Amino acid sequence: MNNGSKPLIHLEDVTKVFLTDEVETHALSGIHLDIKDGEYVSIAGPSGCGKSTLLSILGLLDTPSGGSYSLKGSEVANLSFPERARIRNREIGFIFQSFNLIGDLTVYENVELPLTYRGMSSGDRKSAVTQALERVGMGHRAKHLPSQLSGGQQQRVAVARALAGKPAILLADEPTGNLDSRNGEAVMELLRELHAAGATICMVTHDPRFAQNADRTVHLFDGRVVEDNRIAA
Amino acid sequence: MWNDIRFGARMLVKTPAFTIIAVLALALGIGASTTTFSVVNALLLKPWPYIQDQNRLLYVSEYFPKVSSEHDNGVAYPDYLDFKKQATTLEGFGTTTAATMILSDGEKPDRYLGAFITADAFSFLGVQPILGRIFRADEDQKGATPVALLGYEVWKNHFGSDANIIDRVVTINGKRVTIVGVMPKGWRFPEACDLWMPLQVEEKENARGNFNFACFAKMKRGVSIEQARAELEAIGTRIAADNPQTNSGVSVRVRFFREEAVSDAKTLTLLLMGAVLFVHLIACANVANLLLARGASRAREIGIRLALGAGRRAIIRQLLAESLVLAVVGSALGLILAVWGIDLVIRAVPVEMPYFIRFDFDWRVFSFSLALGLGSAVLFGLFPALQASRPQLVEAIKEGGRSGIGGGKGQRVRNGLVVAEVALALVLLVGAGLTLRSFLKLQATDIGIDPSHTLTFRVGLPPTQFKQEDAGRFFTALIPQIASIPGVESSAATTSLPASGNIGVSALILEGEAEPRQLQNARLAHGLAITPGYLATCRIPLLRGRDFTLADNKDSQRVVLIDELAAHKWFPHTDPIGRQLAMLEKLGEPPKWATIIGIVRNVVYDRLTERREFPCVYAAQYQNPEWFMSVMLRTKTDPAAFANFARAAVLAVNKEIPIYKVKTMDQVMVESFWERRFFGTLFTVFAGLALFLAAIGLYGVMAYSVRQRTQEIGVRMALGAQAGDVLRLVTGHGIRLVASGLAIGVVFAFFLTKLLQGNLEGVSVHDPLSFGVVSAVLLIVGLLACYLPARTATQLDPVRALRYE
Ligand SMILES: Nc1ncnc2c1ncn2[C@@H]1O[C@H](COP(=O)(O)OP(=O)(O)O)[C@@H](O)[C@H]1O
Ligand SMILES: [Mg+2]
Repeated sequence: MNNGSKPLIHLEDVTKVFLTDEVETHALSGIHLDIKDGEYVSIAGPSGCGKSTLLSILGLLDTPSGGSYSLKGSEVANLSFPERARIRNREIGFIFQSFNLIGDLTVYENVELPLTYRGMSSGDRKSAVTQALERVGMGHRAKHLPSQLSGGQQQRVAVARALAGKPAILLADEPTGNLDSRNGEAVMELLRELHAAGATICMVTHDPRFAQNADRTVHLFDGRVVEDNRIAA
Repeated sequence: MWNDIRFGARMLVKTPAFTIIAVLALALGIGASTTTFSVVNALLLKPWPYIQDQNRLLYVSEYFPKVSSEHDNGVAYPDYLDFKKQATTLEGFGTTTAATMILSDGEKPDRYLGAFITADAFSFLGVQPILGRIFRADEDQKGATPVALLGYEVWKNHFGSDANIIDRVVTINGKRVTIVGVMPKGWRFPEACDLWMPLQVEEKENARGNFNFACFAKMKRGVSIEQARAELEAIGTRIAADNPQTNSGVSVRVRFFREEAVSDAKTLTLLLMGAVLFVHLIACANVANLLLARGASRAREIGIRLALGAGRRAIIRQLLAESLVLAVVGSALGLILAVWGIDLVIRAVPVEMPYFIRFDFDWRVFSFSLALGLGSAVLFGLFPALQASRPQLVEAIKEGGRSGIGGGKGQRVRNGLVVAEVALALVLLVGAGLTLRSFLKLQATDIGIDPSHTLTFRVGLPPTQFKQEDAGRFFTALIPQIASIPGVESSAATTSLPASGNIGVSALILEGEAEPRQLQNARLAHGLAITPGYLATCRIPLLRGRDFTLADNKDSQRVVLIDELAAHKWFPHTDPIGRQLAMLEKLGEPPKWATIIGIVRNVVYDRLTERREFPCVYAAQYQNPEWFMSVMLRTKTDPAAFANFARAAVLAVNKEIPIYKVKTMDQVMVESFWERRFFGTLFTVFAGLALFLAAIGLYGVMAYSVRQRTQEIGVRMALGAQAGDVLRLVTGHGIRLVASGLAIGVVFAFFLTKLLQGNLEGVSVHDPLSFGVVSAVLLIVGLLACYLPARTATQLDPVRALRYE
């Protein structure tokens, strides 16, 4: 921080406690994490250690129980619902394990959806959507419905949807979990390309092979960061 | 099968919310349908008590197609004799006229509605007395000993169920009459009579051309109504050929007696039945929707069963068994609701019903509700069962997120059902809106008098017992007595009460005109007699000339008042005051001329639902007294409280004369269109039910859709959807359903409301206000029904929503 390059994401002592049936689950305890602009971070750890919870907080889907979270230098932990929705829409791009394309909408409409929520004009939307689809190599499938695509193709569309709005960071929760290894590799290749072109990515993955793609792997265990490996400078 | 039912019941108990909603919807549908069916049953299906072979019973009348093809005139007595003598297709031919019969042996006189009836009528109708005998065929001959039959209630109440009543001589209308029999309980032929005497007709007073007798006939076994009609028409033609002055242009009408008796109510009743079946359809659509949703959520259980080798048929049988259990419980509850509903219906009828209309339960009503329940079980159960047992569906479920999230399986059918519900509800609401508006218009009708603070009752002297002068003296003495009761402002008597429909049409001629040969060519008017003070008591404005006074009596020059319509129609260019007219009472009698002395504002004497535009001629009661009149008294306070004073005043004038039909003028008004209120109320209740059920259905579908789209909504939130975006997404879906329903409903309503034609006053069947308001109401209710699930959707926790399933 003294060198003047402020981190894109700064988590300080973030905790998350779930209360269910009077049982407290400490999903995250005292997380410190900085992610810089242009970084490619992978998050690893056994099932139930809090990876998805961390991603939800990063993506402003959930609020931390304690600690502070600043995104692009401003505190976002306690924003109102509409403010959080606005930031999700502009700064965050989500990629889910199960693709989560909306079945009633075409490929084009799925990618267009976050731009619609932004109130972008239809002309601007069109160029952004086309560009994003070209980028993931799905331009020729714009009019298809998700059910007409293979899993790998669906996940590429999901990536296009995540990056169409030019977000500050892409958040991916086990993006290859539902894909066979060939399709999984293709998606990982796509992410690597995006990163090479300057995208900031934070990805949860079990697979050590894919974790190697990242600049850095953060290991979680029982809600704590136990290891933070920088692979290359 | 039994096992299926047991398992089905267990599954239903396991999901109480579903079961309660489904059973309630069914119970409402079946309860309303059964209630209405009991009305249909009473009017159209249930056999009349005591009458044998009622499907051979006919109603016969004569009418003038030239005057009105709807209005019957009755059969002239000589024509009646010809029909009776000549018809070979008939086994009996009879007629009856109702009359006030006063039994005056007891401490106080009791007035009953009695009937003079053809002596052999009861024998061909097939009714048996419980005591004594019915009339002998010759007892309507001139000079026969006067005899009477007692109704069961009269026997019980007036004579204390005296077992030795037979051959007792009692006083009826001042005459000594021998009781020969007691009729069974509930027998009040033709409609609501309690005493019967043989009809003796003065032939010279009932010459041809006086169409006074409504007739009934019984066909011989094996004869069709067409054959009977053809024969009677042929006889009618023959009579007309022989008597052209009186009978040319006269037609014979032959209908089934039952059809004639219920014709007024038949259309509305069937419409109501249709409406209530709509309500039930909506209820069934709701249950089908619930079952579809349930089938989807049980897909896994069903998948496992199929995997274990259950045949599709076994699954369907299992699911249908559940529907069956629902239907049976729903029917049972519906029957209970119907018992209560029928009670309400009976209480909503302010007038005395004919004896043959009985709303009570019988096996028909019971079977109807059971059949409706079972039929509905198949209707609402079969499709969901087919859907849920479809193996492809199981595949689809297994595939999970493969084909994208959201949407929801089977959504199209559920949407379709809701659209249909909204459309049906709209049709019903429009129907209700129209009947309600028509009813409100009737209620607001200005009938030309001030009906407030007015008590009315009927009183009179039986013509068989009293002379015309007696009647004149009676009312001359009575009216001042009534007027002197403290709290009474004024009093008067009239032969016909406003808005009562108890008024006939008479022929008349103006000065300088020749007497017409036939009534059908004459000037026609409502004619009535009134006492001085009638205009003041009713607050009818006298527009010109003078009112009657006590000086207008039998010794003075005859005078009449006419109304504006008469003045306008008959004297368009001249002043009517001082001109002469004559009412033609019986054809062949010399006209009695009277001078017009005043013009009054128009007053409605027809029932408000059966208005005819006839001019009115008021005669002076004391110049040509009538025997029976309605007395009216305008009071300073609550008019109903004056009934006993009025009764006492009458007894003070003649202790043998009872009063009856004691009603406030407001009541008379209400009775004047009670069917409209009755059907309007039922229509509105059913439409309200339809609205409620449709709203529940919409809510259910929307709530289910939100549940199914939870994950999709989570994704949308992750992508930055604001609360407003989610709200729009869900309500947008709901509004599309409502709008489609409205569009379809409006088209159907446009055509179906034509069935109401003829049953609406002052409102077009396409009344834009009713259509508009109803659509708006449905839209608002639809919005509300969508809003709740939509709000739930906006409050979803996105993290949880994304984890969903
Ligand atoms: N909404 C929730 N309510 C209660 N407990 C939760 C909730 N979400 C996650 N948890 C718990 O928090 C812990 C971390 O979960 P999660 O972040 O999903 O783990 P991972 O993604 O690493 O497998 C788990 O013990 C999980 O059961
Ligand atoms: Mg996880």
